[in-house]
Amino acid sequence: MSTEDNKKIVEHYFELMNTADDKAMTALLSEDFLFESMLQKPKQFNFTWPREHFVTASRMMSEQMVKPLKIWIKDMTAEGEKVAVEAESYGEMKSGKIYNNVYHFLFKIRDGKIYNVREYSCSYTANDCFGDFSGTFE
Amino acid sequence: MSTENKQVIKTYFDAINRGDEPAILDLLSDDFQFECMAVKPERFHFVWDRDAFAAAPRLMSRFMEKPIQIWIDSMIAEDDSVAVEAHSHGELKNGKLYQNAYHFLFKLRDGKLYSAREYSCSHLAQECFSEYEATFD
Repeated sequence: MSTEDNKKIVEHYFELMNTADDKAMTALLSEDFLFESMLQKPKQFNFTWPREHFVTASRMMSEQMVKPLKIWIKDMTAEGEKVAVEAESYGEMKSGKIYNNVYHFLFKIRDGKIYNVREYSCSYTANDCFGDFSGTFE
Repeated sequence: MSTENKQVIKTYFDAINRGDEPAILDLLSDDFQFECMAVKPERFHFVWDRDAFAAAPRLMSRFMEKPIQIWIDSMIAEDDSVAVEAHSHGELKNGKLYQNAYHFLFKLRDGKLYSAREYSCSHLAQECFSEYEATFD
């Protein structure tokens, strides 16, 4: 797979994030897929999820939104099996808060499937919006 | 170019770890900007120009026991971009440990950095540095 192919896979991943298509998302991830939140504090925001947990949690998160969370790519850097992605999200929450975060993800892709995602984002914003739902992330 | 840009980034982190202000300045373009991408607290979202950024290690030495050290964990490069995962260790005079994880995006032109964007754990930064907040204004 070329770096351009890998970028297309990552673009597809974000399309699926925005449509909350569990089945299509599962098909895009390898069986040994791991999603790692690289936030250090609060501790409940530092977690690793296997594939099924990731897909389920994404849906649970969207249930806390008035409208589905939108996330869009701003910049991509690719080399070998890796794609780094700057992104931004916007979501109106049922709590009345606005979840507007910025991200720098690192994706790893093997044989056309994503096998690892590491998320770096503003933990203060995440805690401000989702701290009350911390059980969701365990 | 990607290989050369990665080497510039290694030199950049070495200079930061030494707190070597002239060496840092030598690697930055005149229009360099460092942007901390924290959204909240708002004071942690800031943009520093070249001189402000190069002075940061000296500024931080006021409240660090020893200069903060930062290590590269992974690095990929394409065109003018280099994305770097890194982690840090710093002991603060207030007794706290600052151990953060980072994903930087650097942009380079003609062998010099013209942009650096830092993504790291803002909650941890707030916990460690809030009492020194005036320093970041």
